Amino acid sequence: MTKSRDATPIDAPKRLSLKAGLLVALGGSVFSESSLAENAILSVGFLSNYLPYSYLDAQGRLRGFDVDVVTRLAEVMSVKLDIVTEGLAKLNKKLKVGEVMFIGNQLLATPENRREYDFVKPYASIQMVSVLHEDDNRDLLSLDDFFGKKLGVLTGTGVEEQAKNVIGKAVVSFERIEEALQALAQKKLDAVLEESLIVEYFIERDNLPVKVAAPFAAPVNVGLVVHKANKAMQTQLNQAVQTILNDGSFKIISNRWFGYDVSRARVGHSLSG
Amino acid sequence: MNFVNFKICLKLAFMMFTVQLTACVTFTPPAVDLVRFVPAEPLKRNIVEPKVKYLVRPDGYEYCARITGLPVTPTSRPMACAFWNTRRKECSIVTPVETGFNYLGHELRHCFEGAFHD
Repeated sequence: MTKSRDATPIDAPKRLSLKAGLLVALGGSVFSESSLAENAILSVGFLSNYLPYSYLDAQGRLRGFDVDVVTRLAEVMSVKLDIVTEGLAKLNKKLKVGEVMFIGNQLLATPENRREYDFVKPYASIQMVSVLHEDDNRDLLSLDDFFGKKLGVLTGTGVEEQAKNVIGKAVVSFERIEEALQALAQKKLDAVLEESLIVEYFIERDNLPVKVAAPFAAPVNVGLVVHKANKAMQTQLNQAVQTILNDGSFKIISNRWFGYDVSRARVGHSLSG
Repeated sequence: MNFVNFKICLKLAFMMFTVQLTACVTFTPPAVDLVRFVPAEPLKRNIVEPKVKYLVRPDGYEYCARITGLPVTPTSRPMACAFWNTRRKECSIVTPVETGFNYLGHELRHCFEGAFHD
């Protein structure tokens, strides 16, 4: 599925993705562009079912926090977006052959992903957190604190595995995190463990009587990704991310989706040494 | 023991003494927080008037290491930490059982000003 989104009006668009495809056919480097031409069309890949970052609404339009951020990045870079929506495996293939220039969702900077991609400067701080009912003032900071309590997690995740190893059968697995949050709102669970921004989004969207409580892990390293060989794209995106963080436009987008500026971590520390 | 060996032993002893001194020094409180502070002006704060909770935990070092990603090593460790919920205007400070006003004060600054280390 492909959708176009105007970032700026264009006079003489240059299809970078097509150009890249031709370069592949001719045996040249896909990513030999030193910089983006003004008003170029930039193919960007998004996941189509990744709330609240990128998803198709009832009318089939791609919406989401990452979509808004990338649209603003395109404005800063004076390019037009050609949006491609696929699953991650297909996006990865398209990225490798230059059919998309970058993936518009922030991916986890795992060692495997670092071998596969180059990461752009992150714009949102994401962290695993506990979620409690609004009326609940208990301080549940570690898995040990959950002994004898019902904990909701997303099925098939590392969190589920780790939680089950520590507290066993008290862990309740859910296919969708919305269901876990609804169960918590109805006080059928003591807590839910989930990624902070996803939770913030559902609390706001569904007006749930639950709250983000304590962090459970350090903020994770994430970022938009480009093909390993495409240093020029990485550099330009780094600069554009810095621009939107400095000029206040990121904050507006962040407030719209989450009600506050999510670019900074929500933890601080005193360090000895 | 001949004189050369004695000199080497003396050097080694001196080095060990220096290393020990360094280890002691690393746990001195950060000087910046030993003075009174005034939080940034309201417009520059992350939370203007945070509701603050103070949690003393036996696993304070480990918890702070876990949520900040800063490891506990022989020479350094997180002495305290804070986390906040900007939308709800709430902030929690976590310390181990033994702590100091300097650490509490530093974390209280975080409650007002958010992340400012980087």
